[in-house]
Amino acid sequence: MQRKNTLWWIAVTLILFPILVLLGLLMRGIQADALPAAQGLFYPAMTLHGLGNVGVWFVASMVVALVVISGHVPLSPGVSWFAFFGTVLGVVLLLVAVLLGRFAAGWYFLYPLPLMSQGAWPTWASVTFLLSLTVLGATWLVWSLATLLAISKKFTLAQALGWHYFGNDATPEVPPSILIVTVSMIANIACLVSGVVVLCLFYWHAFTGQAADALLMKNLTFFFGHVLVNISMYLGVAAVYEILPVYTNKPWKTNRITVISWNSVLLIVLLAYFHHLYLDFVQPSALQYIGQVASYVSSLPAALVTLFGALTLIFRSSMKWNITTTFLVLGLMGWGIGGMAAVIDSTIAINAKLHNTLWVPAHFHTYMVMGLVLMVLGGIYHYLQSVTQLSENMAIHKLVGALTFIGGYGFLAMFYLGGAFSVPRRYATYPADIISHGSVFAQWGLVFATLFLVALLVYTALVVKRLMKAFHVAAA
Amino acid sequence: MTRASLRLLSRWPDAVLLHGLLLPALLSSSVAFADTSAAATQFQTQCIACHTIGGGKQVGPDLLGVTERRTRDWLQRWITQPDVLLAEKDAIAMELLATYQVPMPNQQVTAEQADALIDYLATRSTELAQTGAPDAGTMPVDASPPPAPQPMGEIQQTALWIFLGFAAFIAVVFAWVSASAGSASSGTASGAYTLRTVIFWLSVPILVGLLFFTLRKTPYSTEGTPDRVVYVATRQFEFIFSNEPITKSEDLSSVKRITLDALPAGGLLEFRVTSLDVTHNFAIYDEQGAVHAQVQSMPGYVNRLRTRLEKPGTYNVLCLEYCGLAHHVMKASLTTR
Repeated sequence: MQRKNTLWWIAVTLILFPILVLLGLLMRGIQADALPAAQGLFYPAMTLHGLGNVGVWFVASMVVALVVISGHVPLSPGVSWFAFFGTVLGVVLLLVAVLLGRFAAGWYFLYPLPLMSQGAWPTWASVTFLLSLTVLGATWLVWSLATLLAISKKFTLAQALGWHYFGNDATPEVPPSILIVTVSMIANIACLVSGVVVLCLFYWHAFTGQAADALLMKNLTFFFGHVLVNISMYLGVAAVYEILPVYTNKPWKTNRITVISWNSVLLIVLLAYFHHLYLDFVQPSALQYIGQVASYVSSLPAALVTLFGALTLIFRSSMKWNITTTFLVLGLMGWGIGGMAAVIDSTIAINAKLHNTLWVPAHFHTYMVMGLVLMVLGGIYHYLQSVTQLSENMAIHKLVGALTFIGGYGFLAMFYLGGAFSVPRRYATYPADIISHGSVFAQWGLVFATLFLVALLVYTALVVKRLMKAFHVAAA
Repeated sequence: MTRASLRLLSRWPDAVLLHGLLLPALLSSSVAFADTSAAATQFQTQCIACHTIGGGKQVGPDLLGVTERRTRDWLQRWITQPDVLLAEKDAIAMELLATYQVPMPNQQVTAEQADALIDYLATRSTELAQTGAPDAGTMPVDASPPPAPQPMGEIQQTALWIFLGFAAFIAVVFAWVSASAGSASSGTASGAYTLRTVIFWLSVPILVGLLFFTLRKTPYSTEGTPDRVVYVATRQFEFIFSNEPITKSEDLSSVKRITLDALPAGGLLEFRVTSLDVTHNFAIYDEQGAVHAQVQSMPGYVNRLRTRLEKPGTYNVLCLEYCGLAHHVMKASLTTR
């Protein structure tokens, strides 16, 4: 039952992600002036692309992380199916809001834009969108709580957080994946509660006409969005902690450094979100400084514990290269590079120049597309290959790895250059008299993104073959 | 390395990237305008982002022959009060919205200006029908030399170099470690852990130093008296400048709008920015096309942006916070002398 559920999650991910990538290509095509007739689709596509990817990669990383911890703690199949159907319902509502209602307030739906469209989308589309988020939020909150409950059947909360590693007796041994998933679920509950408050205030405005405080709403919204994206990343990393040792034949165990690292991450991730509000000068300055300090400090556990630990594991190991190991290593590298770009942008003095330029999608696409996505895709292939044991063609694996690398970093380079040249993000077209060069970056970005899509489709073909067999095995 | 070669190296992104990647765009964007009347100028500044005359559909419809398709009264209302027509669910307005998905923004065009614009559209349409020539107001017409390549801002360039340095370092480390995989050795990781401890203790003072250095350069200072205070109200999809606060839509009828055509170059300017509807952004682009300073514009709050515009000239203003379907046409300009 559990395996079948996992396979359905994988199927949904493999269907949705290429479509979301196509929406990204459509957006770059419009910005490149290659699709002028489709200009009206830009902002709805942007909304679906952003929200869709945030949602897909949260659930996909959650599923991969749950698969790896299912070896340590008992998970409820009923909750897994509840999460699946709740997510499907939320996605259907989102599709109705965007495709039929032309809702286009962007993935973080900054208050009060969803309720003030100047007639561009009807009120029912906004309400449907809010309902979609309500369904998704409630479902994921239950999912997170159930995951913590499952962990609590084997570990106390203090043990799951590894605090006993500071005592004389470091038993029971806590796998790093349990530690990371516990930290992520606690942060996720905080983030989803924040989302619930945002939604309540949105509903209040929608039905009573009474406006909420815009600064409060922005803080709540970015706390929600920032934490959700970051824990998706951590869940992907949790899977890497479990899968990489299978290939390197070296154990990756929890120790005091790991515990300090991930417990501090819990605090850091809750404070770093202030960096999204640097340019709201009315926000108390102390919070702005906390945002930069937390963002800088966040680089230490990521670089010195996870990345350093992974590299130590790989160094002179017996690891063989296939699509899983290639994607895991590229994914860790993308996390490091994207994280560095994010830390640079978290410097208040630099953010004042780069805020909401293409530098922003540059860094988050780096640690999402070339980081998290590759980790999860590597994890999916690992899982399906271990279930099916089909023969592998390494030449195709190398081709996919090369195309992913060239396409991915080529497409990202255009974002970084665009950001450095002050090209705004979220512009359907660029004013020719000020930033005409934006369309040239978009043209090159489109070319490289197409290469990435080709790699993704080849990967998908490899995985679908294994997925079909895995369904067959599960049915048998 | 000589000072000159260092300077050349420091300009690499501009020199190579702009000449290599951007020149085609800069060339294609070189535009010469034939008509210099007030209405033509207004068309170039307020309409051209969405419309052409004979150049095909863009964000909005091609306006060739529009004065024959619509009545003058309707055009007059549509140009001056598009938001009102949309609210009234005017049939043509709703049809246009359904077709183009982007609502026509209210750009505060006066009735006199709208009259002149309608005349201009009629004249241009007639001229184009007679000559069959492409619209000189909206189509590229060669000949003028390409504008000088736009360099990056200084801080942007520094950020890019730092990023490229770190990214290259990370990539090299990953490549080196990856290359060692596949040939298992019996070595222990103790040396690596020692190295990690060393890196940690080196990182701490570096991070503290960086924080100390950068946190002193934030844009939040309110010291000194500004040479000029400007009130900025934003709304979908325009910037409104005034000498007195505009904090709600009702103020628009009592507070006089101003154009910023004589700000003191090099003086300390304070922009008091608020929004009348959704969250916007007020970003000043320098003459080179780089972000000079920016601040968010939020309903219910006033953000005070202080900056100096050293060089006399015209600076563009863009909104860098997504604010609706015509977000990308929201712009203004200010001039320093």
